[in-house]
Amino acid sequence: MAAIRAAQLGADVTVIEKKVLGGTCLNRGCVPTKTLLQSARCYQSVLNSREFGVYNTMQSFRFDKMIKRKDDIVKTNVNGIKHLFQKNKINFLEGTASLEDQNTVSILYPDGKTELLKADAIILATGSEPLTPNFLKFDGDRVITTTEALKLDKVPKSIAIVGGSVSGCEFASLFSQLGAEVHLIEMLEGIVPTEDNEIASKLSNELKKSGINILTNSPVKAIERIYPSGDVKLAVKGQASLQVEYCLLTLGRKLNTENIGLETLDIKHSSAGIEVNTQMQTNIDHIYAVGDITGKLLLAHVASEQGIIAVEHIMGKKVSMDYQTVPAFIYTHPEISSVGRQEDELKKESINYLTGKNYFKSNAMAMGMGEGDGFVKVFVDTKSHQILGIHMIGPHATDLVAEAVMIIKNKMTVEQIKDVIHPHPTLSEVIKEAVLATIDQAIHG
Amino acid sequence: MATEILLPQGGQDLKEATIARWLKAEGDQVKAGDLLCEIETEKAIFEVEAESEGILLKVLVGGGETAPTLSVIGYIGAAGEKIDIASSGAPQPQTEEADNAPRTSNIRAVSLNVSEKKGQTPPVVANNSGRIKISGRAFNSAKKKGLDPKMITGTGPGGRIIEKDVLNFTGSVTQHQSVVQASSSVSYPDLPGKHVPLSKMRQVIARRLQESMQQLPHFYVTVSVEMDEALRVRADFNRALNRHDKRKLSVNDLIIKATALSLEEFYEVNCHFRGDHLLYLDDINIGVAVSLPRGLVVPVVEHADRLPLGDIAEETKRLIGLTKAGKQASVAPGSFTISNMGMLEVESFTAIINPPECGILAVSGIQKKVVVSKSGDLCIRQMMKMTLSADHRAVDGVLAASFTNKIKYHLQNPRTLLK
Repeated sequence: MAAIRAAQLGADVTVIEKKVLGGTCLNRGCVPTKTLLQSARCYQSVLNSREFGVYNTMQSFRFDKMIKRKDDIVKTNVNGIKHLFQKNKINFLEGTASLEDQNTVSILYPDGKTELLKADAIILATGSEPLTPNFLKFDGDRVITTTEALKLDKVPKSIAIVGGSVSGCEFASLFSQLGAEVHLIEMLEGIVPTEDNEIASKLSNELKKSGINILTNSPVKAIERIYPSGDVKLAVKGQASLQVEYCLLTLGRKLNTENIGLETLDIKHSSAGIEVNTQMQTNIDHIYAVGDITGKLLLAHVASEQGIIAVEHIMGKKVSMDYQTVPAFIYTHPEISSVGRQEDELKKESINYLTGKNYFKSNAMAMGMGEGDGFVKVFVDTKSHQILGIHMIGPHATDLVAEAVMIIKNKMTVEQIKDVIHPHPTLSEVIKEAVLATIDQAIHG
Repeated sequence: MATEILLPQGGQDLKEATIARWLKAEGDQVKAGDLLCEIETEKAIFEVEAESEGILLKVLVGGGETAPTLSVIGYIGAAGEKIDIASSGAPQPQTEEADNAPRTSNIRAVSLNVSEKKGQTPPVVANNSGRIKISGRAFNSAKKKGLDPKMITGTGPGGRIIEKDVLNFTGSVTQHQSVVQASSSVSYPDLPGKHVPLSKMRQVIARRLQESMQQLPHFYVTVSVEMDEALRVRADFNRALNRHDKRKLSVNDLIIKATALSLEEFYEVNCHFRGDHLLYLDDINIGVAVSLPRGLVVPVVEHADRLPLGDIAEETKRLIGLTKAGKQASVAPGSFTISNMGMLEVESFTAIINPPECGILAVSGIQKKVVVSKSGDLCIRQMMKMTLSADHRAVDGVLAASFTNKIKYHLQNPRTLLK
């Protein structure tokens, strides 16, 4: 993103990448996961087609075909980036880069050759890897991370997912929809602790209803392999030991801040990330850092935005990164999304607020889709009626959140939303109704 | 000046070798690169090349004779050049050959009723301590006479024993000091049959295997492996290759890779026993037992864990080819050995561990058997038994079982071998 924007602004750009263009999100993260989830949804609708008056007897799927489809889509996207690079005359080098001095980057190519490149400005965007604590015995064979999970040749018969985070929930949802026996193990009190409590509880209930075994307050103490079956045995605190075919570790990310020359140039950083200001500068003016290595919000759209900010600043524009209006979302079934303030934040800051809620089951479109589960919850300032936070769980929540981001970013009020015509019948009406519910003016409440 | 021909050291612990035969005779003209003689060690037969041009002036150690490694066995020089063997600056060869002799060796200073029976194994001189300075020729001479070099005074440079010292030895020449390989000095009854002396190689094999059985507390773990999937994966892999592609897989190649992966996780089996401690080796070097008419040879596939399957196949072919041709195929010491008798239609067997290794895997033949499937039905599967022999001083039962079962896991999930 940064590269293309920089080229658009007239800069001479070189991108150095040691693996594949597109990074984690495109190749090993969001895009492949969501693509597979679409296949899973398709299978689910085949299983539920009777409700829609459609009958089919061959209710089967092939996971290898789902993986192939995913690979093709990823490849198309990567090629898309390659074309954009060519179109914008961006110089792309396949190698491993590190900072040599303040104005020089050294590149190590796969064939062993090295090169030094001088630049007026340098942007570090080395990303992160899945976290694999030693005692959990990651082996890439049956104790895996999401990278391997996206390359399996068949759906596991049984899988234990360690870490009830966004990734953990998404993969739990994916494999459960495809018929696996899924155990989702979380050491804290609840899954997805970064979401609104009510919404997290609702998700937990829905996942349990679909057959997922959710264990909370259950840290994993040890993992071992059992032979000859190759199965994975987990010792979980307060639970009987668990034996499964696969174990997926979704415990967060490890930032790639090593071996890139930070120490050589004394660039301030810690295990929490490289320190940057709101213009994405490190303590050296013309060296910037964006994405996961800044340790802010480990999300692809945040990284993209940081990249654009960095580049625009380099090219002389006045810009500043705003983390306030960043949407969060989870592609489980049902989907979750949210933007703005959380209820406990508002309480902590002693802000007086009103709550409004609207359920998808009273929405005509949701009924027609057969997706009545879920709701939208809105918090507004008691006095000004400014909309402070919007939280959703339900069908297409991840698409619907775009409107919510717009509302929060523009600090809109209940009254302003009241005047906005929402198409009918659509899911988006649930948002308007929830907003109006804050002042008891919902129609379909 | 005449150039010395030294008896090469063919391997790390080899202390002596036998000249199998000379390919050139005294007086022959040789050029650099010409083969001079064939050497036989306990590991292999190999050839010595001439390093310089000239005439083969003198042969000090003849065909069929044994000499310590790095001793002088001959000279190459200009025609008519004089060589002074006794005062030549040749390196002092060491008689340490008895280092490998059994601890039960006895030196008897009294004459025994040991008559030189036809074909009796030549007595082996035991040297219980220290190094003796002795020329190759003198050594052979002493051996022939059944003399212990320690008893002979040397008159060569630095007190070195030279041939004339042996010939002049006036100690009890009639006393035969014989050392027996086994513990008895029995005289065998005279039965009709063909007496076949044990070759140097077979003597060493015999000694090492006996030591292994006597000193290592062997125990055995057997598993039965369903090989259907592995055979399918092998067939698919090979089908994609040209007929003569060296990367074509044999079943043994799959077993080598599976074993390497198991040694990686169960690193405590990949060890050498060292008396009072164990050395857990960093390198996974798997020996592949090759049976030859002259005896068992075990070339080693180095870093078997790092090689992809096709490379393992290529390497085993290379090693076996060299071994069968009598050449030394590998130098690195092994950390574990696989002995495969599958092609001999054997249902199961146990193998003897190769010290200082702590385990050996005996692989038997694949046979169609009726087995009970997971769902409780009868079905036919291609079953192969593998038996691990483990040294109980280093490996216990739980470790042995887990290690062997992981090999079984990899063979029954052969896609894990393709990574």
